[in-house]
Amino acid sequence: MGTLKHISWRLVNVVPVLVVVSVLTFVLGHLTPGDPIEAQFVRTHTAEQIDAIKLSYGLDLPVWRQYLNWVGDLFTAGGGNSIAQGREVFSILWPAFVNTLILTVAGVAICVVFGVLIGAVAGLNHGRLLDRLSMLVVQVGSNLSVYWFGLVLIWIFALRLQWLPVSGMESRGGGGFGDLVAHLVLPGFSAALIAMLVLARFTRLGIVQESNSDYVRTFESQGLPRRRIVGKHIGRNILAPIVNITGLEIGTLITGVIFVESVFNWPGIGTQLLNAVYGKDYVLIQGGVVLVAMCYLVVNLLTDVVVDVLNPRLRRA
Amino acid sequence: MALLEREADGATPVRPAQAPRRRPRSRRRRNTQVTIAVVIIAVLVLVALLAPWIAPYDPLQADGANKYLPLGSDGHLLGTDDQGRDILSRLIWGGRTSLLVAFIASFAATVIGSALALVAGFSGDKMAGLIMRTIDVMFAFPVIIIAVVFALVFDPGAFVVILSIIFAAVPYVTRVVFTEVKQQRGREYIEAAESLGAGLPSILFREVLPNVVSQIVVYGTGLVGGMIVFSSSLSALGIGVQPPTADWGRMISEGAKVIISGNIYVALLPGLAVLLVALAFNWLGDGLRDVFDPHQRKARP
Repeated sequence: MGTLKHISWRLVNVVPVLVVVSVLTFVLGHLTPGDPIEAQFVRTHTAEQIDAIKLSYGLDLPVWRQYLNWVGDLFTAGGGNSIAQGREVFSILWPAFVNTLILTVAGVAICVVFGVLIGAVAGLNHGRLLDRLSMLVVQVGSNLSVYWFGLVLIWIFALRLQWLPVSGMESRGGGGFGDLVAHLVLPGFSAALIAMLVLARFTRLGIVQESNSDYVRTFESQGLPRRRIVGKHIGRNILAPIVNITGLEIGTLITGVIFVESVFNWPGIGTQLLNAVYGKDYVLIQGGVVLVAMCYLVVNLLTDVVVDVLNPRLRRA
Repeated sequence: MALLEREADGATPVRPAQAPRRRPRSRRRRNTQVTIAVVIIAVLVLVALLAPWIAPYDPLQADGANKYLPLGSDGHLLGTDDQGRDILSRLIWGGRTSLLVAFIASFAATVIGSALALVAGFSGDKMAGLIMRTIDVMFAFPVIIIAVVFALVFDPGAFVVILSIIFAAVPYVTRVVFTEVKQQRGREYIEAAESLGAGLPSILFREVLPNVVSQIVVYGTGLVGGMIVFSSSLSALGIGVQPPTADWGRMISEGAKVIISGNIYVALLPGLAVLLVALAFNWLGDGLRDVFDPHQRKARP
């Protein structure tokens, strides 16, 4: 019951956030200087035709009506028509979104596996050389520009060693799952970099703190094997914070993914949005922003639920 | 940006029970670290300021006959890029842009965040709730999406980078300063000021601010490092500083175009410059924390 109530309360909380995001997106879209429709069609259309196009976008209506129309479009008309491409925004964004999702999932997997691994190696060897070395890697890595890191990875692993493909999502002519995985490794690592190192830091800190706690000392004095203490007790206690931080870092990861898409020519939503910036296609950007915001909120909600199930004590606090 | 989270997550090593013996050495190492950081920053700022006089070439001057000169070439110490422009000169001028953008944005974010935190800390639970909830929403929202919207509204340029950085950094500053401000609430000196009839602004700026300003400075310093990294990525993406202006981020993306032909150093060098500055500011921030607040280290778990 408690969990269910908690989840529904969180769901209710999401609605005002979405409304705020949509209003802000809409207002910002309308602040766009110049006339995007004029710019798009001025060479090919007469003044009357352009006016007709503007009418079809409802630009003669009062702003609040335009907002309501746009929200209606989000639900029923695929987010309205893109200015530059003329098609429904969501039909353009959807395939790109799936590609971004694939990269993000790969990023999360890499982030969790390597983040926890680095953190655990450092934490379990606290104070020793291995710890200092890992922390040095974390410190330097956290200060790398994601874009640049991607480039360096391309240079080393794709151009020099030629182990992995340079860019794109699949080899020419397509190539199945293995081919996709090969294309995912480098961009996945680059996108995950920052979030991964944050996770490593927290994992290390968690392990060090738990190792110094009373219950671990008790277990140690009782002669419980180290492996058992770490695996069964410390591991379980730091699981909830790890999930929590992974969830919180999704925002960082999405930012990383969009930087990386540009480096690796990944046909994702970031590429679409950047193109839309140059084309002043504010309808497309509005749709994209709402889409990403939704995903982000869903991820946060899921994280919350999982953390809640793992560690109900947090809720009462 | 996760880059800023070192305040909260204990990048400062946790000190277990056996630490006291190692303390003196570690303190000395800290001091060396700060010295190195100060030297790096001072040199780079000086170079950036003196760019017109020390840069060997015009950073925008293309030279078709001398494209892709390697490192250590005659007359071009760090080689030339795809248009034959001198990379050293572009690095020097680029530092000017990159440092300026990061400084302005970090300063603005620190001021705005601190002001929000002060207000939230001393103006009742409702206001605090409103501010901190808003901060929560801003907190981990993908900053890049905000940057894209800014780029649409204001056209890509340095201004977009500055705005995005402010948006990205304000939540972190606010949260960190808020924690500090909250601790001042209910202290005797506040009570004393209140009983002497001091108004809210006077209490905030004359009593509370001086007590938290050192933490603000420490955090703001570390911020510059993270933000120079972030701004370079934004400019590399094309929504930041526009060509032909020399900027480290821009240079990285220009280098990206020629990487396939094996000319990695065009992109490599500006990236290393970014890394160097970022590390220096982080070291300085960590060092300043120890100087301003020696207790904090002991108080950590």
